[in-house]
Amino acid sequence: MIPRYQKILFGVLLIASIAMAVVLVRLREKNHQQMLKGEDLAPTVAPAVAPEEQVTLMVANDSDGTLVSEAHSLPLPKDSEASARAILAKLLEIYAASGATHPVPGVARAVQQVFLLPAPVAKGAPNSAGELAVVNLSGAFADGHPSGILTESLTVESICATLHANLPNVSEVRFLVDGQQRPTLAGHADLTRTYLTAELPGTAASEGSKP
Amino acid sequence: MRALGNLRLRGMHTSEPRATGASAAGVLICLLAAFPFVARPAMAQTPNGRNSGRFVVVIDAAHGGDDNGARLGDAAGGQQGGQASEKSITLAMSVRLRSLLAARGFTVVTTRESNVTLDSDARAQIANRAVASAAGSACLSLHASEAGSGAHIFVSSLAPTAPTRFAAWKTAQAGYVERSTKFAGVVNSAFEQSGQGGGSGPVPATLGRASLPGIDSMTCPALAIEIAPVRTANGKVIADVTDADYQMQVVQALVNALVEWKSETDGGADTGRGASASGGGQTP
Ligand SMILES: [Zn+2]
Repeated sequence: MIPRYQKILFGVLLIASIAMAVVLVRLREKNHQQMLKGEDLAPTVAPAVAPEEQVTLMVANDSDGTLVSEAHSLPLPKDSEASARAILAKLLEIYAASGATHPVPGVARAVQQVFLLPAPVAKGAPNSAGELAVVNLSGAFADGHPSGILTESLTVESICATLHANLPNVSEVRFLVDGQQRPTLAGHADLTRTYLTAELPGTAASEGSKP
Repeated sequence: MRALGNLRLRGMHTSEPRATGASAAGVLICLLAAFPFVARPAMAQTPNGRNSGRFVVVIDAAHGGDDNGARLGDAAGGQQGGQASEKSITLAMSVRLRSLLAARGFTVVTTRESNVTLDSDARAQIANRAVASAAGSACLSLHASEAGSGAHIFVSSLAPTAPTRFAAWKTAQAGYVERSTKFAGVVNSAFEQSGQGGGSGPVPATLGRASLPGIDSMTCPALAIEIAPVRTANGKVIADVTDADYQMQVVQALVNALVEWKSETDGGADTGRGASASGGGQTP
């Protein structure tokens, strides 16, 4: 014969374990719903929602050493630094495509960041309203870039000209690679200097709008 | 710093050239060592200058030693001349160009004759020392690349300024940009006329401007010449940079350009710098 107190203890333990199972299932469901909500808010989805805008890309051509202006429409983030990064990413995507006029191997996140700062004012010069764009390229992009004066200069010039075409306030551009200063892009183009957009060479006639 | 440089220079300039003894030279050396300035050729003129009154060509074979430059020979799938590094192609072209120019009576100075590491400042120093008392000069930095087509001719992207007595080291070329641009035109037309009679056709050439640390410090009409494979309109490689015949065609075009540039310089445009007209070269 089982004593009474043992029957009561068994009943209490049974009720407690059922209650714990119910709470566990509830918590799991709640967590799963929270996770789904979090995914919806992830920034990777945001650009697809952003409206498409017209941008001007200054696309380099190795065969004659020129920059050709091309109109494209892109979904752009509202923030101007993020938008500059998206525009340059599109430019480098064109260079990575097969049959490009200026072939440069593509890498993920070739443009890590673009920072927009007030341009330093030279002594004795009138206050400039210009902006300095600091373009932080990835080390993998620089390491994979073809070596040569023409090809490296065209990459640098097309980045500077594209920034200036879409953000006319940008008057100066500096480059970093993985957040550090690097002497050259791939052995030739000087990355230690400040490039002035006013000194960029002339560009060829523009082509029609492209998606 | 600029004001001090000018002040010291004026003091130097008023002294008799023949009285410029060891002490004065010492002051000049100290001044140059203390400040990143470079003296104009007319200032450095000495009676015992080896290149005094001559037309001097400086050939800089880019890269070398630890710096291999670009990896070349893949454009035509290694079909023409196999694979090579840029440093060895520039050196081979420098050696050929030097011997062809020497045969025509040019005074030639090269920045390197072997596989050694040289930084851009050392190259500019060799060039500036060589042209210091020359009557006329031309400086060529040779490169090779897989990108683009034909010969790429580059002039410094520095904004042209009037030549000054002392120029900042990093921008010394600014006073020569106008003459470098003229020289680029001569080289460009030599490429247009190259290959005639050989059946290979002219080497297509493009003119451009670039920021080049070595060239930017040179006190001579200076160009960077980058050779790339010759391609058809649809990108097919006709001649790769490792192709010896193509290299020879480029070198021959450069020789013709230098003969033309020397004759233009002898014509008076470049002789107003105190030295007598060239006696070293022979025009063909
Ligand atoms: Zn090179």
